[in-house]
Amino acid sequence: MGEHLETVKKAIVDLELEDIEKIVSSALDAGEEPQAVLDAMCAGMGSVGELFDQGEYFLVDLVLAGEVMKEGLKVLEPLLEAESMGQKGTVVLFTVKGDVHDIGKNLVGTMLSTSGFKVVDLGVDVPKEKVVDAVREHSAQAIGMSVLLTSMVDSISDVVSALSAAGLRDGVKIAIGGACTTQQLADKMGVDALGRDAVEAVRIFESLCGS
Amino acid sequence: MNKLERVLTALDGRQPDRVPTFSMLFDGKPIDDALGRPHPRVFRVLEIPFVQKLADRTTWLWNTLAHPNLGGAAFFYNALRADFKLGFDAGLAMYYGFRVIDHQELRDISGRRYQFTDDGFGGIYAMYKEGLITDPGAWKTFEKMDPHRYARGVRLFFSFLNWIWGGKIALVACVGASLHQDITEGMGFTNFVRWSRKDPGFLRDIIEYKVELAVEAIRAVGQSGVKVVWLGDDLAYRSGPMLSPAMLEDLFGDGYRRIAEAAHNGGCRIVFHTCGNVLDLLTMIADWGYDGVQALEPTAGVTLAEARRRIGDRLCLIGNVDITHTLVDATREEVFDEVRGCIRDGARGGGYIVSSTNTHNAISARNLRWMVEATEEYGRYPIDIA
Ligand code: B1M
Repeated sequence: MGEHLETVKKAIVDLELEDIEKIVSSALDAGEEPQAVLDAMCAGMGSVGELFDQGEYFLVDLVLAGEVMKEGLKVLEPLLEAESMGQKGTVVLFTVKGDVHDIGKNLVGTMLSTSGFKVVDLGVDVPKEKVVDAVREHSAQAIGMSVLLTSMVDSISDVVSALSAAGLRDGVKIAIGGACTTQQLADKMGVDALGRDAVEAVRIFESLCGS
Repeated sequence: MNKLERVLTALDGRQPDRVPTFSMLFDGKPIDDALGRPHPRVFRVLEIPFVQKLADRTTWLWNTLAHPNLGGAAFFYNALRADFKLGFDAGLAMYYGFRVIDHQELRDISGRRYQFTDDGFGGIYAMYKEGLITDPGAWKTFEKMDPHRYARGVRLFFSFLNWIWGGKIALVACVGASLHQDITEGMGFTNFVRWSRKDPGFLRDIIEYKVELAVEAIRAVGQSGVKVVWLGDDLAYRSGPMLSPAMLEDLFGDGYRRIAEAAHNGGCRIVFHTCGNVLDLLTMIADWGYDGVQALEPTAGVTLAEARRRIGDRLCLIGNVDITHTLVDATREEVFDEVRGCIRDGARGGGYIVSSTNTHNAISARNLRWMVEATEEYGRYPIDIA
């Protein structure tokens, strides 16, 4: 990796929220390809993930890194080939009906969109009808549901049934995550995968969407 | 020992006659169940267009009726009645400043916006939606509560409840003003994270205001005669602290210290409630001057044995009874087993109080009663559990 790309990567790792746009622009001005700059940013994000796993970084740093990525992407997006943004597939993401916890969902959303997915974020407390409409409208390949309240786990099967009733279940993969989810719950609810954290969520959607 | 003595002894890290029990109930359904009365299915009324119009034109009336010193006091009068009926030694009451905007929306003094929804059992529930203090401009125009006025309401509220319940149950007072949680929810967590980097001074302004509000309100609790303060302030999630200990100390440490000091100066003990895996924060909470820590969520990997190993007798440990299964739909035997395990791991030598980690509407009043009964069975000192 050249000097400019190293600087881009370092800016992500150092959580340079204010300077990232400038740094990305300088790399482009110096002749780096937009795709190479994006790859450097993703490499930075990978290092952030490692620092988090090692206990050096905390949740707040992970969220900040996501925000730095978003700022950098503002500069890159118009220059990247349309396919390279959202090329890995479209994911409809939301927190289930009756549940408003959104910190984890937002983090998963940031990680997915900065990893090349198109994310349709429906927010929190989302009724099943809205999910069905969004899957249809955006021809989504996958769904990510965040669930933190045990009392709301039935909302998962409600969504699964609504998708089946609408004839969409076979065309869409479903993953769940959040404080109260377990593999046992995922099996019981008839979903395809369980994500324990935002980094794993990216891997899961990559494999579910076949990228 | 009476209930208050039992609770205070445990909070001081000493050994009472029996392990005390604390109820965190503030959800309507389990309260109604405990009182043996139907849970009013009133949410559907709010869905009638005529009622919505009427409600929108009479928000002044709703704000009067729901004022913490009227509707709030009536609600917690009943919550404490439920706690008492279930046999708890201590029960929580919350003074909470908010304003009804219309038939759909409520806003609180920390900048949270809530929406009225069905509580899952036909009742009304105010569901947190978002924070309104998203930037310094919004903070400038945000209508701030005068701490002295707020404290007057707090004093009246707890004096009333203490007058009624004082001798019957140990009252635990929450003044509806915290730091990290109020601020992150009042602006949204992502905004908080961005401002912590871009302009920590903006955050410090809000923190200072919140500390003043909490300190005045806690002073008022002391004047009301209530002896225990509870600060509800989530600092962790299931994998650990949300902020690094260094950032937490830098932004909030001084405020948390001043809040603890205000409680002690008013003759109260103070308990820090935080969900999530708090093991790495226990020392810090003790250093800030808190007497106890409540929640100790088993689903986030917290065990009482590990918490005790880390903090020794510097903090009274409160909680660790699961609310995902044990207090929702477990059998009597399961509840007894869990409480027995908690007492075995947390109560030796004193400094432990049995309680749920949190509360929600699916919690069963029957299981709460079993939790209290199990504490009475296994919690007599000296503890004799193999
Ligand atoms: C495939 O798609 C995927 C893949 C991976 C996915 C994914 C989706 N979603 C998440 N992931 C994964 O990746 C993320 C990043 O690593 C992770 O996401 P998480 O969401 O797990 O982690 C986030 C990054 C940070 N984590 C969080 O933000 C949650 C932290 C804790 C402390 C928590 C918080 C902060 C809050 N809460 Co509440 N809260 C608790 C939580 C304790 C805990 N153990 O987690 C929990 C979840 N809460 C609980 C409760 C009871 C409640 N809460 C409530 C309210 C709130 C606040 C509003 C105060 C606040 C939320 C603020 C917000 N904007 O989100 C109430 C319910 C409101 C509602 N209707 O939703 C209320 C009912 C309390 C009350 N009586 O009012 C408990 C639920 C128990 C249960 N199992 O049912 C709880 C476990 C705490 C406890 N002591 O037991 C992974 O799980």
